[in-house]
Amino acid sequence: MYKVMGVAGLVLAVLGGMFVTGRQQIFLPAHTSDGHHLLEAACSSCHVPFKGIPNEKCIACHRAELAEDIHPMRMFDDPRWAATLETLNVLSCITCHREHRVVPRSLTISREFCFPCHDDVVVKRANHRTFPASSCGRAGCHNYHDNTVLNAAFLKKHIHEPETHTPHGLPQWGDPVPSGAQPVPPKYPKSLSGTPETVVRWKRSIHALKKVNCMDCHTGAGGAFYRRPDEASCKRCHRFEVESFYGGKHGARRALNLTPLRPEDARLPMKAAGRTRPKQVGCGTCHDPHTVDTRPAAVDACLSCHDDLHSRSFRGSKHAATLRASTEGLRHGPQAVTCATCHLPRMKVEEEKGARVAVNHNNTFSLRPRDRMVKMVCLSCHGLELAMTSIMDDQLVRNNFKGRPRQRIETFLMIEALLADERKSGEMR
Amino acid sequence: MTIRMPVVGVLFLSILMAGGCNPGTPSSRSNGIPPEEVTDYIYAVIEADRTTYTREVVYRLQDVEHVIQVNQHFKEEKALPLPSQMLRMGATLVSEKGKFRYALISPWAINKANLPKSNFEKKGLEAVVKEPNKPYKSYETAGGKKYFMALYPDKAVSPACIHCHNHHPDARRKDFKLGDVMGGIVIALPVS
Repeated sequence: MYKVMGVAGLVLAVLGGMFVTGRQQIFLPAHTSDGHHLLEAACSSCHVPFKGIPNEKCIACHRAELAEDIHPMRMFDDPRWAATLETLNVLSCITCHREHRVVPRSLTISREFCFPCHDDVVVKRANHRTFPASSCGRAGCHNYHDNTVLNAAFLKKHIHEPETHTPHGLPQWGDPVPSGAQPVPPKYPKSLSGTPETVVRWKRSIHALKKVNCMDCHTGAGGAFYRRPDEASCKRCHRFEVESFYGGKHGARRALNLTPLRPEDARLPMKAAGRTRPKQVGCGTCHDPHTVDTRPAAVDACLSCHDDLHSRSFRGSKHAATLRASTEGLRHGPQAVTCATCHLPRMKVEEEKGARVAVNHNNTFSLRPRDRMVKMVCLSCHGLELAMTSIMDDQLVRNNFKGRPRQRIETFLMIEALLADERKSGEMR
Repeated sequence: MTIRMPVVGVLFLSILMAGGCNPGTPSSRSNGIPPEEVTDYIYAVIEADRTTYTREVVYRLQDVEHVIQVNQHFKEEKALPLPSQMLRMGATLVSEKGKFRYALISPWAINKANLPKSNFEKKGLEAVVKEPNKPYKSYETAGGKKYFMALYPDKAVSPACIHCHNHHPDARRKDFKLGDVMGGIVIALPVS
């Protein structure tokens, strides 16, 4: 009896110790989805004791993806929808997305969920009559939260564009450096003797030219010198960049005050641990904190960790060929296409000082749905049909777009038929 | 003297109770503005803003001056929001304050989501189509909560309204005329 109690007590002590010291994976029921697996050591990332999983936990990380939600929850929090909510409670994220199950994007609801509200599509759209009710999202055409590309008006407008625009229309970012600017003298504590090599690197940087001095970054609480500032220091000036970083897989752990992401935490193939592979991901991992040269950050930094076929194929791709012909001072030139061009897309952000083009550091924002990358990035240089058919071709994506798409997407055949009907009837849809 | 005091006391208490316990209507109990009037005020503002936008912005700039178009995808197309979108965006901002809600519905709605859903909405729309000058009002329960609901007519106030709706490929009715009731604005006030 006492032996049993003793063993039970020991087991409980071990389990409790694991729970409080952040080793909570042992309690996980089944597999977590990609991305969420980075947070599975901390159950409180999602769970609130005795309250389940409130929406706020999801929205804390996924706010950016829901900013232009075409089915925002507030639309349904209305007495008009009371009866519908009894059938499908869309006011709760976990109604449709349940974790700890092996399904794509944790969409655990029946695939026919669109139909009860949108069953009139078979009347309004003759070309949809043969489609099964479960195909709305599965076919890759419609996304419950983001339908900004795959709507008829957008497709009709862009369908017959040429495959490549010249010149490319990538938005240009970053404040210009005043011409003739000289680096300011460095200011650092006298206790740091000599002229460290870091100061030499800093003097060549855009920070030095724009009067961002040592103590502007290395200041901790109370104004003391802080040897290794983290992203909170960068955030003082680069708020959007840091906050968007927190929204992607690279920064999601830091957003929840967990330890930084390490390459070995990833499920994608990563380079073997060694001298050249970074140990963890933070601002300084990709941006040398003293040169702050964005050129290596846009390609070399990525390839120092990522070792999948898409990444290994980049340097031999047509996109990479644009790098050799394009450089402007401390930044890649306007025609350059880097890893960051697609995966950390540039976008216009509105701030107190006015609107500017900034780099979205959420490395997953443009990945899902795939047509989001088409709209944010690909259309700057390419026509819609080439961009869409390429990005929907898994083999082409894996080899970093070497070759042509293997088939035409049925969507464009439908749009061409729609345009032909409109020309005949004289009526626009 | 000793007999009169209890009588006076009972009388005094009776007067107090009569003054404080009149059930009456919720409005008279709260001594505030009756909900029937509150919805009238709200509708007046919604109707005025909507009419102004439709006439002075949409119709003038699109159909008279030919400066800019309305488009459902107004951000991408750098166009004007549809008048219905303008109303719904305002309704969203109001709903976020949590005080009351309003919506634009119609028996001929282009988007199925805006067709009448409840018996109140169905009967209300029939009533205002028949008698546009008489809003339809009642207390209703939805999702376990009680509301005072009022439905007012939404009319074709500009040629812009009828031109767009009569030519929309998904329209359920294509013969609207200026001044016709095209739908209704339903306002829901939560009541305790």
